[in-house]
Amino acid sequence: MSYRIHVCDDEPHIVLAVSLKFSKAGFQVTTASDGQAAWESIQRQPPQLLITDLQMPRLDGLGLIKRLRADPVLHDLPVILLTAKGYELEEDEIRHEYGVQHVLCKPFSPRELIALANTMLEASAAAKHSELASPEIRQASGVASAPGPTAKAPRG
Amino acid sequence: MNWDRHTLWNSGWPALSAGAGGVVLSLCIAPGVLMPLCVAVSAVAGGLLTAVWVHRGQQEAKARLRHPELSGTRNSGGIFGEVTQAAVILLQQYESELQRLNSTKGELEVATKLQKKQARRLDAALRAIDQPVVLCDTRDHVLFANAGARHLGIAEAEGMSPSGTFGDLKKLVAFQQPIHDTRTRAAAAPRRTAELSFTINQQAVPFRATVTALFDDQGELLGTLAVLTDVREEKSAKARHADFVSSVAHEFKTPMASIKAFLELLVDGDVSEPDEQKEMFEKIDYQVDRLNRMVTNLLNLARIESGAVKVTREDCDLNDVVNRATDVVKPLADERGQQFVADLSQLYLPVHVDRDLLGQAIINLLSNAVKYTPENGRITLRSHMEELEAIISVEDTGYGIPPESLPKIFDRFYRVPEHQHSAKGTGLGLAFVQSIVQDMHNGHIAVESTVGVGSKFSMRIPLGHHDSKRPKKTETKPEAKLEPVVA
Repeated sequence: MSYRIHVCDDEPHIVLAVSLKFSKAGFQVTTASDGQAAWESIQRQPPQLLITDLQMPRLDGLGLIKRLRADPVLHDLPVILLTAKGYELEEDEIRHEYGVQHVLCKPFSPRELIALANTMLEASAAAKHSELASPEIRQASGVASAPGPTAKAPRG
Repeated sequence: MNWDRHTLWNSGWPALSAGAGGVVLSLCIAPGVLMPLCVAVSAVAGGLLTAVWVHRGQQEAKARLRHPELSGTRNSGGIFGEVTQAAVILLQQYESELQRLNSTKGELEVATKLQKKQARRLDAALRAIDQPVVLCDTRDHVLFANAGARHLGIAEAEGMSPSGTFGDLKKLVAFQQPIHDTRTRAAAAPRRTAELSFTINQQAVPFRATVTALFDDQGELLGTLAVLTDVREEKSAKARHADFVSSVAHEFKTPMASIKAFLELLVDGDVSEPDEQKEMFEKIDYQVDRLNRMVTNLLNLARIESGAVKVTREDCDLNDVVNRATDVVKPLADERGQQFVADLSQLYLPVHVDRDLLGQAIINLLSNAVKYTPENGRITLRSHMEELEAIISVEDTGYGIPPESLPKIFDRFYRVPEHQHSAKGTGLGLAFVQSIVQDMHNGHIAVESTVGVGSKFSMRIPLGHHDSKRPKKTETKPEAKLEPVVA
């Protein structure tokens, strides 16, 4: 079974590059150019992982994640946040308040992105299939309900 | 006068004797009826002699005072000669001393007056300084606080504190500390600065206190002088600069991210088909161009804002400038099926402008209208005269700008979040317009907008040809001689 990921960015070239990388690796990929479109797409076809930009028209990345965390079905969807924001971004706050385990700064490496996605998906699957999932696994999968201390995120 | 009394003794004795002798003689020779007559005649004669003698004595005294060298020629061997001489010398000394004292007194009076004036001037100068100024003695007691300092609650009253009390300074521990430190460690560092916060109108306002130890010519510590500077604007400028740098970084990282991602896909063999590879290279090329465009725009803006762009102003009709801009943008509007209406003034609009730069500003406004107006929308360009200004307005039936975005619309790199998907842009176009209109042409740019209805940008340019008006600042700046910016 192949994983489905959703890629959301208002920069079409980023969406193209990420989609291409994941498609070639056998993932199913859905895309959107803003948070609102992503929210609608995710509701129709829930993915196993969301890769989203931070600054977008209509609904930004954090707004999208907030909606996910409030949704009974999608609340534990693992998320990787892509951003071109620099030093002003409070990564700890984003991790704790929004349950975003990984923040990748642009420019990022698609190679590293897919490696990170694989790790998160495996951890998430393991957590879901294990009735006695340990907090560490849940945490590594980026599930919002167990933010806890954060692991060092790879930086692009 | 003493001198006159001496003369009386010295020279008048024989005359008095003659008068008295006459009286005695009369009593002896005519004791009968004639006696009273003789007494009277003798008395009158004696009195006249005395008067003549006194007058002569005074004349002599004056002569001696004027010519002391002659004082020894008469009565030099007399009983009172030496006394008179000593008295004359003494008097001369006294008179000389008196003259010297009078002169010193005059000088002191002048110096005191000057000192008082200088003190008043210094006092007025300290009061005239807008910045809060506080003068403390060697015990950190406030000696003087100007109105600015009083406004901060540093001292109870402006001016010299007669009691030398500390005023409210004791409450301001944070302010007291740098004053104390500067005074006690003046040898190590005679000037110190500290960042403080004072409450003005219930708002915390950041200040920088610069405290300097004051010494006299002999190096003795006299006290400390604290000057406070409101650093609100400075901090705000730093914050704006940080925001700007952040925006630049963000804008640069986005195309860089695409370039890096595409290159990595090519290197990793994710794109193997020649057609796909070609497409990817083209996208990289596009992003490199985008980066280059951003750098160029940024440099152009920096040059304009720093005044390094050569501004070539000439007398012309503003409608000519507007028409040239229209020629550039109208085809774009036609392409999008937009209705383009040019409602230009029939009058000659005399202006003194840089045609290229102002034309670019109008192009920017028009191309924004084209970009942010849906197909089949309408763009109206107007020009007219209003009092001493020519007004150009660009109105569209576009998406409109949300109220929260309006104050930031002319900021560098600012893009209305809701519009970012509608069209590409660097967020520098309107910053250009503002610089060209306001900084280079002493004009004004304003915007009004309603979401879903449209936007209207109005540009005001002062009317008048160069011959009929004073040269503007932009023409006299030496920077204006620099090479023109590459478009």
